[in-house]
Amino acid sequence: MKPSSSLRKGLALLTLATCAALVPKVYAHHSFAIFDQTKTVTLQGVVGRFVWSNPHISIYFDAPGPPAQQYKIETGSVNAMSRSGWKADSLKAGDVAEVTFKPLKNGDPGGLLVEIKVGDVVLSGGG
Amino acid sequence: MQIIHRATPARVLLGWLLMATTTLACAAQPTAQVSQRPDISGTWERTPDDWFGENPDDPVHPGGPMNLKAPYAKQYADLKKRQAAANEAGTPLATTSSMCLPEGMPVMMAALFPIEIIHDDKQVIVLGEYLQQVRRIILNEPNPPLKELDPSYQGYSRGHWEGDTLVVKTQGVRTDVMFYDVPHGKAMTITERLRLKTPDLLENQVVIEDPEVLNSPYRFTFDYKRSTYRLHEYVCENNQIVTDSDGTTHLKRD
Repeated sequence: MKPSSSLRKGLALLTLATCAALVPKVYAHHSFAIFDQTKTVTLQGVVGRFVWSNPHISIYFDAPGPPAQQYKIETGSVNAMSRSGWKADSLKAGDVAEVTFKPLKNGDPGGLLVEIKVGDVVLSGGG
Repeated sequence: MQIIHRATPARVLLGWLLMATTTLACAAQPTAQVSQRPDISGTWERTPDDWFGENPDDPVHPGGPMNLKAPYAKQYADLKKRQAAANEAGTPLATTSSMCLPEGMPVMMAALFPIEIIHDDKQVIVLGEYLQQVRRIILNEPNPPLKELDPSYQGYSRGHWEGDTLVVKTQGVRTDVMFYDVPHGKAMTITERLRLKTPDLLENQVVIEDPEVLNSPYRFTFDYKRSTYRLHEYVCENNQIVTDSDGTTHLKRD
């Protein structure tokens, strides 16, 4: 049985709240400084790949642009994100989504996940 | 002259009493030790939750500023300047962590990710979830001579119980293991005193002695709260951080 929409929203909110408390630990593997914490970018697009790996989970996100390009969005470790409710199948290639992230300072297409919305499910990255 | 003891009923009774008392004492000894020793086994997480400080790029030394000898104090100050510049440019300097290398001692005991303690009469094992680190503390043996120790990330630990406190001495930590950007010498000795303050609160009083790097012993305390979390595997199989030739890093482009 699939969880109801309201339950999923509740879980998403719980995830948001939990991740907020995990921020320092989530990104401890490497410095925050590659990301521009003063900027926030939101894009519509499609999940190209969802990589469930350590030290970080990565979302390869295809945005139509222009210019159309793939963004590499980092989030926390498998261990930390699992504890906040993420699963290896939380996202899948082809999911139509809206992603919000802190961009890389060097201008490469990518950044640190703030949150990703698929339908009415919101997953937070703690960024 | 040969002395012959006759097995009078009184002597037999005395013998039995002595045997029984001795047997009971021997049998009771390990039980008494076990019951007196606090149970520090289980999963532990650092407390309070904000122990890490506000900025992960500028970790706080847990016992306040360290009293470093002159060359190391300058080296540390220079490193902090270079780090700040590299961070501002968005190309932070590589660290052992960004290369997926173990934290080593004593940083492993900072429990960035949860730690688990398993112990018996002979040893205490500490598992660190982050990078699947393992630390072994052998009980009731003297520390080996320093010159016999091949450098290792977690060093070589020997411990013993002093009442309710587990006292552990560690030496032989690799000199490329950093303590929040501070190096150490080959003769560094870490002494820990672990004690349950309550059944669910573990205190670890740590002293670092290092005649090469420190002007005086450095003291701090790590507090841990008991957790029901079960440690998971942590394999750093997909490191996306690339270290450039000048020691700075960037996220792999792919």
